[in-house]
Amino acid sequence: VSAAFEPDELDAWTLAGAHARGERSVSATLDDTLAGIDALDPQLRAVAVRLDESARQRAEMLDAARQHGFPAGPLCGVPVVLKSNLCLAGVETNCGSRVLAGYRPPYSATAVERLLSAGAVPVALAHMDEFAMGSSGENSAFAATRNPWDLERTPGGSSSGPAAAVAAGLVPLALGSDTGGSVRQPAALCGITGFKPTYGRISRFGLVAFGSSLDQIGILARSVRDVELAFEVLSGVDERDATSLDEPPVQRLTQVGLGGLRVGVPSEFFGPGLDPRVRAASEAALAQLERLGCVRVPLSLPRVELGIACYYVLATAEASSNLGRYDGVRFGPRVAGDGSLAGMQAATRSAGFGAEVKRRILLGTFVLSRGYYEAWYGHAARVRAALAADFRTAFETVDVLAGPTSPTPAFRLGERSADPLSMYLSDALTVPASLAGLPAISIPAGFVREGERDLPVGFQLIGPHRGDARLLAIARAFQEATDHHRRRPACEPTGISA
Amino acid sequence: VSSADLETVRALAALARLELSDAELSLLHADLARILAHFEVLARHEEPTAPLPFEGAARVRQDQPVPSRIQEAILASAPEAEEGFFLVPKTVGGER
Repeated sequence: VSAAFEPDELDAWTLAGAHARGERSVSATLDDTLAGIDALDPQLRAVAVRLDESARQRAEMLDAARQHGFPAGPLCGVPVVLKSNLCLAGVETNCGSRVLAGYRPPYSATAVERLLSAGAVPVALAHMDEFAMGSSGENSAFAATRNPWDLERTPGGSSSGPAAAVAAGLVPLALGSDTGGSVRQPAALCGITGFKPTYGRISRFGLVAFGSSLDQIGILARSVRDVELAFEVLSGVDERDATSLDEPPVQRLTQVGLGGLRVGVPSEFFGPGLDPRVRAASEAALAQLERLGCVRVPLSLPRVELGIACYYVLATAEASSNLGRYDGVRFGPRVAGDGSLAGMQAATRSAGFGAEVKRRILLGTFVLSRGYYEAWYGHAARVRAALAADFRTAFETVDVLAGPTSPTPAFRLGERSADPLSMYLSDALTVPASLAGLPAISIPAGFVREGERDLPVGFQLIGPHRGDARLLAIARAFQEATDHHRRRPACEPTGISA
Repeated sequence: VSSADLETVRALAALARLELSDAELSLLHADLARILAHFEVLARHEEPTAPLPFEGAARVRQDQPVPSRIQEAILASAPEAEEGFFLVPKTVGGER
């Protein structure tokens, strides 16, 4: 494996084209990918389950298909990593939890099936915060993934493994899930591109449920161009998810002019909790958009400041219900307890769930309980509706909303793990779009110096409901004019060789 | 807006089928109190009754049974299964 390679060779777009034309074999790409995982993952700890054998079979099948003249899919031979809450038939999908250790779903998620149909090659399932509850990856029952830009720091979460795998160059493309920012925040902290579509754009069938009214599968890649390539494959209605939008797959827009585009900048995204260096990088990104012809429109969305409280009431309420199914009857290991049914269920759940999951189940049970339901859950639901209306009003006068993705760059592993509230506050800038069901993307916007190292800063663009294609085209135009997304972490010793 | 006292947290844990030691309970009680105090910001904002953003958004399919051929595979994930059923500890009468 060569230490030197051109980053663009890892581009999903370029790889798929080279495979389709027979310029390189899928098997050769896979060999390089697996060698990269061998070399780097012992430090990075992104990979939960390796799929070497099935990936080799798929690669050989794809190479043979090409030799026989079968048409290649748009992701032909592209190695991908899946978050461990996405079902791939027969492969351990444990959601980073001991309660699902050893669980092998008998079916695949719709999104995974669509990746496979497009010719992608899943090479691994990746670590994550248990049941996607966390913002640092440290809530995984199995491994805390490290940030490739600084191995002492968090890659963000909950899609910790997928983000680190893409940032380190192990694969060009990964699927994560985003309930309150779990794709966008790790993308920001790892210096890559992370996209959460409009709620309902990508089927949730086969995504293990956390907060069903918020959960959305998202895409992690090194460029918007690759995100768009995957999104065309993944989006579109699915009969097996009643909340999937009844619309065909989203087609990428060839070009969008930034001249005269109105960029709304909510003052609440630049509040007092924002790291001044992140503020400066975000201001620089806004200035870049203005140089490209955009018009900056200052505005206010006061309910954004209620976002964390609103989100954590609603998401935990939904989680307490969704996680009721892990009771030692249908999945995972069983703990006998006192031998009674209730005792077995309590013993299984208490041994299987980690501290953060228990905390959220209790919080969710509380806000749904009699006497508290109206004051907590009911009120949060109304705030959510009002916040969504605020966004609709804002999009009557602006084309896109912009601001930082995360209030800080990557923090040290362990720094916030003892303080759940400070961890929740990491999500302040990502939960508003989740509550409103809006498409949002984090793109690299620059770097801040932290001791000996540079850490990436992410910039978030939020689009109107169903405005995914235009949002992506705007983000792509920004990347065509900047090179933050091309920079690679120094720890990257391997890659796909030419 | 009310918060949760220690006995309430104990009752919530029982409802949620979680066995917690006294040490775990008091830690979680402190966490919940702190988190809920922070969340009281919600209560200070009065909101009119409004429909939820996604009400009516879900589609329903035709109510037609379709064959499912994965019963065996689903039962294979269970800790204990027998003759097409999930096995659980006995809940009525007799020993076990």
